[in-house]
Amino acid sequence: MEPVTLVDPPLVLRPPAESDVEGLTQAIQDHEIARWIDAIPWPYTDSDSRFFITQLSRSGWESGDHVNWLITVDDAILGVVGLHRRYPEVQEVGYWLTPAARGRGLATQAVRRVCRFAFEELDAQRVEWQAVVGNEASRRVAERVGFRFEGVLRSRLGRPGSPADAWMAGLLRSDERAK
Amino acid sequence: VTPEVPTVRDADLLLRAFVEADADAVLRACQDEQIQRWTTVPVPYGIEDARSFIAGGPAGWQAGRPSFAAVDATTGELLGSFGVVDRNEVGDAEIGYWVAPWARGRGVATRSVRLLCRYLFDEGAERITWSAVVGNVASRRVAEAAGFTVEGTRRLGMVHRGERVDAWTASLLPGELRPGDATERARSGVLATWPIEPVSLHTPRLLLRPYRLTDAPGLLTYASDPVVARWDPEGIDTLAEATARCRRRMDWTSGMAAAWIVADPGDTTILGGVSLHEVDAHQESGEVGYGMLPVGRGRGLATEATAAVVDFAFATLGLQRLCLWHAVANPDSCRVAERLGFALEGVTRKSYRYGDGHLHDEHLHARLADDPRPGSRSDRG
Repeated sequence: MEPVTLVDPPLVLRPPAESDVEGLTQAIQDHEIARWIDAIPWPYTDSDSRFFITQLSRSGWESGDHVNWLITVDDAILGVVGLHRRYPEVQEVGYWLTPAARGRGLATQAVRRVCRFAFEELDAQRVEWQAVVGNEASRRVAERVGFRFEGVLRSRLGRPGSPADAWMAGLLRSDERAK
Repeated sequence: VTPEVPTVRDADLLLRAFVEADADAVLRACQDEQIQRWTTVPVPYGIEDARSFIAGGPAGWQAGRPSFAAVDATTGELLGSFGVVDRNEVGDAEIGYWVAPWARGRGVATRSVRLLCRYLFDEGAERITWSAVVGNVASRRVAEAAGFTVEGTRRLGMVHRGERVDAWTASLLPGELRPGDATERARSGVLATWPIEPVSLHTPRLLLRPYRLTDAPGLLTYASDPVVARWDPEGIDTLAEATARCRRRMDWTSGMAAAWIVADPGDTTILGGVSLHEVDAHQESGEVGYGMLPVGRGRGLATEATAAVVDFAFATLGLQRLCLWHAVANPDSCRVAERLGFALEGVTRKSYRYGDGHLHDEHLHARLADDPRPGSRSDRG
């Protein structure tokens, strides 16, 4: 599908471009992010962000199976939010914010906007959220958006050799989403 | 290319690939109301559905989704279908199954799920999942009896017969397979005395402890010793292989094999290993094997460690006969066998390929439960 920019003031969620390689590398230099998200390499260098932008994100938008946006305010990169099609009509949401951008409700706003995109543009009936057990910051965001807790998946996440249990929550198209 | 499909079995069940000749039985089974209600088989179900299901088997095997027909090991009668229906991006295997209406009520499902999961773990699965429409209590009971933990309810997490419905989800991790009660153990050929949870053994100088995943780096170091490597038939060259071996060795739930790491109490360095394998409840027999770093040799440590396992096999498990094989070219091993009181029964020529890549002649030694303990002297003149 054609990459789409979502505007939800003050946020601009835009598909990453090749010119964002250095900016993304700088933004993600917080070990807490890679600690909780096993798909993010650590240490993280320009070659990682180049791979993410020019390979993963580009092919993900082309197939529509894996769509990502940079979370920006006044063109400063504050994080990433994305959707991954797990099954027909089921999307999984993922996100992170730079330390400086936290505590202002920006993740909640971005995730809410992206879930709306999943329901309205990607025909999702269900958006799923999973996080390593203990990732309270991510859980608070999901709860504010209206996700309902559904269970703990044992050894579902983690890096090779160090499996981690995962919280699972779901947001349905039919749920009354928190405003 | 038809992939080679293994068979797995317990005392009276056999899991094998579906073949064209199964089509009639599959057709009959899939007319069942319960199967049509809870599974994803087409409704109505015709002979073409059965044929295309069977024809799709090899492609599934190639894609990491093995499917098995469970049959009566004696009569060959088809009893059910057990296989992997999905693999996610990290390799979790989701299983699915149905049991023919004529085969219900005798534990076929639970035992077949166990065999399937054992096979998947042996093939390296790290996490097996199960998912069912909320309300499919029969399927849930089977999963729970095999050891699955139900983790939650995924709202609208499944499409069933064209409708989005809530789904139960469960998982089974290595070491969690449950063997069932005494009746079921007997049916599956597992000793009533078999410990499902690994146990440690102690000797005057040594600790024999079960494997853990964290032993992988130490095991890699241990296995790279040239003498150890020479007599290790599989060999370990990478941390991934070491991890896979730890995972297999820490899982005693098959009832057929147990393994210990030999270490100094108070030191984590792996000195050696002892294993008990090919345990057969019906024959009341098993095999014992051992390995030891050069640093541990010449002090009788292999003998001391293996003696503890031999005692365990006879006194705790109640086995009647233990075999011990070693290459004729490995005289150190022969001395251990003799000290343990294992009588030499014969020489088998070129019978086993060891870590050096060569087929070796082997000694077969054995000891029976009522053989005198080595070193004991009769007091009766």
